[in-house]
Amino acid sequence: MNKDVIQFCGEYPKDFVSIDIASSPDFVFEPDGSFSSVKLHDIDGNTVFVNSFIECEHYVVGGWNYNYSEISNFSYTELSVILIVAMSIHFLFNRYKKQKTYKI
Amino acid sequence: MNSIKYSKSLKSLILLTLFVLIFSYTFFDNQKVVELTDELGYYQINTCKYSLFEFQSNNLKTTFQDHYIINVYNYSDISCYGKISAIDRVKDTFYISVGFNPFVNLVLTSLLLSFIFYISNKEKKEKSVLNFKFFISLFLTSGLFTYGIFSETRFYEKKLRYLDLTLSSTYITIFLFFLFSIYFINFYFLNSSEKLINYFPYLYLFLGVINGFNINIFYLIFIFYWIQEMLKNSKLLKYNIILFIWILIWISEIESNNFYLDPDKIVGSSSTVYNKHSTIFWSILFFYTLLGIISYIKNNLGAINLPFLNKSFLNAGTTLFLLGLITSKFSTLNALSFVLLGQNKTTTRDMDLNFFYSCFNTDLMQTAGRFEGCTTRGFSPSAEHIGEFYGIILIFYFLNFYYKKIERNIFDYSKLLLVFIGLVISNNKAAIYLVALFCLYPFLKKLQRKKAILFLLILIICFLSIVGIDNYLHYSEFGEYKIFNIKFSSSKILLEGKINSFEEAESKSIEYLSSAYNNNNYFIKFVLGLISTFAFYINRGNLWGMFIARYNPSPVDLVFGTGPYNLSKVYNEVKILGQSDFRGDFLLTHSSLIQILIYFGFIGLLVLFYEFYKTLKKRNKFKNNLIMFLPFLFLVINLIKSDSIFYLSTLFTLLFFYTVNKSSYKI
Repeated sequence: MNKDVIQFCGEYPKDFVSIDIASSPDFVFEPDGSFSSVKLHDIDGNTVFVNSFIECEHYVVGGWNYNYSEISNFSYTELSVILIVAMSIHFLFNRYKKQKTYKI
Repeated sequence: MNSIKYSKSLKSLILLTLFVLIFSYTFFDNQKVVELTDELGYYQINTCKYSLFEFQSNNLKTTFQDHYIINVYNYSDISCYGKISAIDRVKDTFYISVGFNPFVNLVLTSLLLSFIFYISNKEKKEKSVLNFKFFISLFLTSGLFTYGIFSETRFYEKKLRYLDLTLSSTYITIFLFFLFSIYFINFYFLNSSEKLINYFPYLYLFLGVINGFNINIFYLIFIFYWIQEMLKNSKLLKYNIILFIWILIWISEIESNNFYLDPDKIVGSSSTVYNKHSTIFWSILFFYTLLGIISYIKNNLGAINLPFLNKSFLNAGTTLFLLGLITSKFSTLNALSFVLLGQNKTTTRDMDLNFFYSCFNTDLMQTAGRFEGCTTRGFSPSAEHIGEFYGIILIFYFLNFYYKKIERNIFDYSKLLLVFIGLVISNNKAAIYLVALFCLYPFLKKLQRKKAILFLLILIICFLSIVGIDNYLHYSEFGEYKIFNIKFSSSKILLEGKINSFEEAESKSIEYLSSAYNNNNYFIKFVLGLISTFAFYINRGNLWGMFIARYNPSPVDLVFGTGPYNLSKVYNEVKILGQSDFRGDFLLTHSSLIQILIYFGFIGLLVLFYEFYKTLKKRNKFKNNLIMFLPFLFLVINLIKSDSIFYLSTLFTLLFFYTVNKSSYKI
């Protein structure tokens, strides 16, 4: 069992049988209703949605096993936190200014 | 006072420097820009290395030569913001793609708008707006817009491609971005809200679409405003009951087919998908924005300053015209104004000497159709939209001049001339006729009835013969002009509808109207004939015909509509032959009344007519109110045959004149 596959696609189904897709060029992935869509990234930041475990396994083994944080050198979460800090400073500054005005 | 002026100039300079830095910060690294030649390999390998200004300062030809086009690539990563992400060549044209990111656009546009609000507050008096209600409104508004992203994941997956929209933690990040923007915009807006009412014509310049989002930045203001109003006055909460009943009716009709619509030029004013979440979001957004705008205008009626407003209209119109010229020539400004001023579409790049030459070249006119070779939308998303604005400026200025004897200066005449040229080249014939009529109206009112009618008849004949006689006559096979047969014009819409329908897959509207025609239902024949003849002569026969070819309402849709800004169902349910026009855009209905019918059904139309009647009655009580009433009437007439209601600038202008007239505002 591939650790990456478990990380991105979830646990292997009990009755899972691996298929050699590379040797069957006409293979069509059928969507699996019981499988929640998963978004995968490659090293260039391209994304793909997979709709069945077998499709997910195929892509992950083929190199679509990057987290967003690995391919982007900028974190949206960090930026959003910086913005909220800026907002808090603005708020505190205005509170302080208001208090000062009332005192005068 | 001088120190305030000095401080504001200094802050403006700092802000300008910061904006320039965003697009030029790679100046300070060691990598030198390579000259752009036909060999593009270097820039295709070295992506996101050079900022736009650094690249252009080393390749000056790309700033003004027509065959270099700056392409806004609005789903790049933050680290590529303002940098050259790719350069491609198609025939002789070079497409220089510059990376933009929706979240950075949101933050920058919010800061820019906050700064504009800040400098408009000339007295620099800050109100204490940061109270408990402010923060409740802040959280609720941010939550609503985060929900909006969740409701349209198909659209945002492409734009926010570095975020995983299937994870709930992503929505916390999105929420924080909205929190920041809504906080700053509303803090500065509330501090100068009274002054800002006289600046509203500038909405036609700062169109407000947040590039990369399907949202207009002014929604962040007016939804916040309305939520705060509800918190201040609990009686206003009753409007939510009507809204939620209507939402329940709309979502009860939705099946899980997720019809999708690419919003194109109506981005920011149209839902992209027909599902329950999206309908809930757009319904709340539309009604709260509408109520927010109305309550804002009502609360600030006393602050309206007619001479100031008149000046704002004229200055905004002139700037719009000049900005259209400048951004059509300089590709850098064309792209930057698209992102930072929130244009729905980039400025057309056709306003050069050849364009103006075509306006006076009779040979060209005859080949391309009268005036067709000389039509441009300029800075605006549509020629109708910009034509209506120029028309309002001229009417408003003239009425103020006639009734109020406002002070003029020598520059006003040159500004008026530019606005007039703008109106003519927008080729909005209805607006041109109405401007002439409404400017003459005060004189006609003074004449005796018979003389006034005679004068009007002469005027109409003059216009028909000068501007658009070709629309009314056709060239018969015997080589002479003949007036179109009434049978032809009265069935034009149905005919066009049938031409555009696939056999055996016609819409319910076509089926119903065809059977009414075949069964000689005189009432339907008369009403449709009237609308059809009207549509034919205002050049809407084809477009309205295509609408009935598509319109396939259930009984509930017909009575209550499918929800505001919801076109996905109409444009997907029944496929038609003429899906798009020759430019490849999807064709809108070109009637705001039809939009109302789609969104709110016949109930919506009835409410609209009733409100118009009420406004008309209220207006009669104050006969000197023509200054406010004629621009309102002008917009209403224009909206029958235009889609401008999609744009927030037109919606705000309409609501401004509506609220002012309905509130019996005394000039």
